[in-house]
Amino acid sequence: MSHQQPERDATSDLESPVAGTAVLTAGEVSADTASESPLRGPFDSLIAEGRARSVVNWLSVVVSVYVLISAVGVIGAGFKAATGGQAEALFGFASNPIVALMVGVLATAATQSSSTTTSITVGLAAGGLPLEIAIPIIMGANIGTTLTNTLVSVGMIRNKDDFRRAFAAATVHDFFNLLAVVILLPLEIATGFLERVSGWLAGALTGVGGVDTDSVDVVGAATAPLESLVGSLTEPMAAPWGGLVMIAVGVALIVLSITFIGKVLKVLMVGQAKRVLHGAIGRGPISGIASGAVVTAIVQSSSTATSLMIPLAGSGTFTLRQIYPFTLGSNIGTTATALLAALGLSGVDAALGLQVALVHLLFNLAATAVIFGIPFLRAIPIKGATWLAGRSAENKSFAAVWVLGVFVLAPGLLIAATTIF
Amino acid sequence: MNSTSDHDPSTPEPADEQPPLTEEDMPRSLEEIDAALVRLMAETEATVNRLRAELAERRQHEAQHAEIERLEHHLAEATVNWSKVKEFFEEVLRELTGRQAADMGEDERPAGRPEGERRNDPGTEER
Repeated sequence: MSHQQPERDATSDLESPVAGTAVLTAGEVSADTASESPLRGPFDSLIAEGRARSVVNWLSVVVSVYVLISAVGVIGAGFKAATGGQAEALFGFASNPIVALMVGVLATAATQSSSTTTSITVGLAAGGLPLEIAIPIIMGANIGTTLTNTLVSVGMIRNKDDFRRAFAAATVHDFFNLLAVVILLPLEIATGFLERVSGWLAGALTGVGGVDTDSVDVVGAATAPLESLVGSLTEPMAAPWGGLVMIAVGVALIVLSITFIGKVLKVLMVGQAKRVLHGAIGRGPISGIASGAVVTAIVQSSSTATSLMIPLAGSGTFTLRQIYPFTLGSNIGTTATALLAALGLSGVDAALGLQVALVHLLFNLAATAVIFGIPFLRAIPIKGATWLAGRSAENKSFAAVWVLGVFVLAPGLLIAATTIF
Repeated sequence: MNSTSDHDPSTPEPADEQPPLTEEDMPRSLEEIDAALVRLMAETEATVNRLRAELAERRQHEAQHAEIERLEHHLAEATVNWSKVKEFFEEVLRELTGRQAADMGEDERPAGRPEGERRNDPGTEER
């Protein structure tokens, strides 16, 4: 499909407001979208397009969500078996919040999915991982997830202006999430506000606080078989190996299910996502935040949601100020996965797992309210991203130092230094 | 210029605009004609600027809607292309080594002779 410039009217002497972008006419667009979608679902080659394929796709999402929820329980049980109630000793190396934060950054940068890291952390917390360690890991996951769109943006290196715009749109997310941690992590260490509010909410929602103790745990009962199956397979192994294998199986199931859900939902929900985005155009930043949250919850991946905006920012179709609220919304939308993952936990485990998932949500809501709500703070990510992108367009080593420094060297060195000294 | 003839007095004036010309504003001298023309030009310019901004915004929204119609393509490409990432780091290395070579060349240049002078020297001309 060609990006040809449509015929201009009498006002054609006016400069196009959309730098580097040709405006497509409605006819061109419908002809293009009607042709063939490049999105491929896992069952496309097996089932003909139509209702049957849609039903199979939705069923596969339901099964994947079941696997995800069960896998969180498997991790929790595995962690309990592996540590034998000594989780703090096992995770002693991460008891320093900065190290736990860096573990979160590295784990998410490696999996390119904050949902994966947070879901695993939910399982570990249910198995006894102390909240003082789990909370910084969750915050680190927020930083690590921004690597994906930054790597997508460096792919636009061939055109200097496109690269500058794309890199700014990607790093505004980096700057925001770094600033959020700089403000909220010390506040959390000093006051424990996230732990307290999430604890209260988790207690109220799971019935541990006396609200709903008599209710039947349907989800917990439904997901128990997979947990029991993995448990019985690893039972003959000596401690702590059985537990460690359970954790590895749980992690693998979480990675697979989240990847699969993302892939299928992209195909199923693209129409909904379009409607949400069309509705947000020309409206204010609140609509931008809401559209980011909804689109991310729809595709179950903040990496995908923020990465899809990079070519649009690079071409100049969307400005940095329009992309910025969208990325904040995707921080909020991505918390849906961990909340979903916490559904399968029951009893006290449920309260702890849900508490970690709620910390993720509360942290992102607080960061958005504080940073985006205060004009002085709101401008910092934009200024930082604009400056860095400008320098990087002139001298690409700036971009390389940023990518390697923030996502690999700094976390690696901090963990190594804390472990050694 | 005769803007008073079709002005409806019941229509409220926008707060940020000057009122249209009335009979009392009709020019009586050359200076007044000049002043009226200048004022008209300023008004016209402001209107054109407003229209330009509106048109630019309309076109931007149109382009944004068009790109969102191609969301399938953008979603399909919303993944890291590792060959492009490799290309980026190769470009960074080229940029660094190129700069290093340029710095070394500058160090080897004879002292006291500026670069421009050396470039004009027929003996150093590139072939």
